Amino acid sequence: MIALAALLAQGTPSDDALAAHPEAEAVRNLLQGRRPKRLAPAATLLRWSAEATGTPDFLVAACLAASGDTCEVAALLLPPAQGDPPKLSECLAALEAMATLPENRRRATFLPLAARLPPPARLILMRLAAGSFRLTLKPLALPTDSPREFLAVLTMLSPQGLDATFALRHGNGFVPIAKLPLTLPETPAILAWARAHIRDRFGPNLLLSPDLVFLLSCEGTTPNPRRKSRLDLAAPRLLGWHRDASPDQATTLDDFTSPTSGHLPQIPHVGPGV
Amino acid sequence: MRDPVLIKTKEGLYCPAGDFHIDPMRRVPRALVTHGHSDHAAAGMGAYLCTSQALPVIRHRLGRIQAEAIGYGVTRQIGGVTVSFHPAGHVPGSAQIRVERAGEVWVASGDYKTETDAVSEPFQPVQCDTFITECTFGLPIFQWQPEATVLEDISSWCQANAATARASVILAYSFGKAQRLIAGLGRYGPICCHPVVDTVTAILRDQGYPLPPTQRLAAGQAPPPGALIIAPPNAMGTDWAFGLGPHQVAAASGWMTLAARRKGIARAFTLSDHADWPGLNAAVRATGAAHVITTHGYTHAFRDHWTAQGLQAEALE
Repeated sequence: MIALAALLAQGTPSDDALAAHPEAEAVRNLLQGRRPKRLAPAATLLRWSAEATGTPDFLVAACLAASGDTCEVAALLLPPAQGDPPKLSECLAALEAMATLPENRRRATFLPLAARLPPPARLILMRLAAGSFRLTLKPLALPTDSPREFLAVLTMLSPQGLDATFALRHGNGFVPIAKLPLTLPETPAILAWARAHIRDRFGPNLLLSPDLVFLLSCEGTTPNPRRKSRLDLAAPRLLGWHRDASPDQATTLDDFTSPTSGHLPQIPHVGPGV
Repeated sequence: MRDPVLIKTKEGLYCPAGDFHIDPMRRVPRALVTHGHSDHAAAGMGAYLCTSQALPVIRHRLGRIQAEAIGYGVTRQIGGVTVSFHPAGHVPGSAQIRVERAGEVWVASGDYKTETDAVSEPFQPVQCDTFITECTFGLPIFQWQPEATVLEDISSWCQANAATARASVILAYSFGKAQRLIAGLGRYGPICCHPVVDTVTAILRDQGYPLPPTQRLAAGQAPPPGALIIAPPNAMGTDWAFGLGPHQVAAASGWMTLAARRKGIARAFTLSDHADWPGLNAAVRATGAAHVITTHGYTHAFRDHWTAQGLQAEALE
């Protein structure tokens, strides 16, 4: 369970990291959507934690206002971990067994289990129990088509590069396709460039001249009519800065969505950078 | 009820009987300063009084000021009150300020931390009638792991990065948190510091704080392979970060407990220089105060908490 928390702390886990998990099979099942049935709503889990620790309603309300996450407050209200931390398989088996118990017995079984985990792992247990675990793993929803690489243009940037928006060509303009942290060796150089190429500001975010081209990959796509591109990417990744490409070489949305076309023009090898 | 010993004014906490302010943020003739962080020590005061241990960093940050230093626990008469400074455990040199007027004792906590670390003078509770307490983390969701556990986690993370030929950058306040990391991670190997961190660290090392040697990493300079680098929170968006090469970034802060504030940074370590919920509760009880005034943080929740415990409590608005 602690290893799972460490795995998820890295964002979307890589296959290697997954394989290195001591209970890789159980994690894989989880990520593929085979999760235990909901034990109780998040609000009930929070009530259990609050009652067990004697936390009055006004403090619970203040904690909720500060955190904004019911499961997180339920996890953090309990005292530091005590005893041997349970393994993922033990937690899953316990949740399954608890599902058949009446509420008071569920609580009596669940809280001691949660008390043995440190907060990050305890939060995962809370989310599993509340049936909200899928939210943290949305990018791993099963894709409807194949993995691909594509070229996209950097169009927006948060101040420290924590959120970079990448876009595909569409008509005479660009359509956002992925938002990722700018985690490249060249990030400082890109940030310095960005400060000199600001087109507009939206709060702290910078709209940039669409000049820099990057190589991205994804494991597939799922339709989402609320997006301008009308799709979500599964497990998008930023592979590198493609210094030699010009924005008109970026992949078009049409090329990207038609699965048979060669949407990656001939590009030289993108090195790991400096 | 008697007149309060300390009152809030637009300049900051004010003592009418002694005619001085504590940690004022606007120009006043006489300032008593708890520690060198910029939200407590501001420029422009006529005269400053702080602990001998706090003064070098305050002088470094504020330039030419008229300042006087006082040892921990030494009493001084100012007008109609007696004042003294007592260790707050927050950062090197930090103090709580005790103010006594005709037998009535008030203590202004400044910022404080009850867990000890390798550099800050350990927090000492001071008996008082009224305790003005900070409550930056005054909610029960804030419960820190022991510092040793967090330092162990940071060490493992750095070693994993070094194994894949990446440097580890830890973002932390340049005064206080940075030195705690340097003192606590010294055995990990040589530590590189952003120039801002390096300068403050050199000042504290000269004062005699137990800080291992560090290497100053100038803007654009490449660190040694697998280096551990301590930098201030805004460093990654500046030209300084140009020469880092492959690296991973983590932050060390009390706020990391909240997932909502965690996005975008590879790793977050919860290491605070403020007391957590159990620490705040223990500190307030240890003063024996019957009257608690909450400031800086979750003032209403923390006030209501003490009211529910039967104390006279109010929030400093």
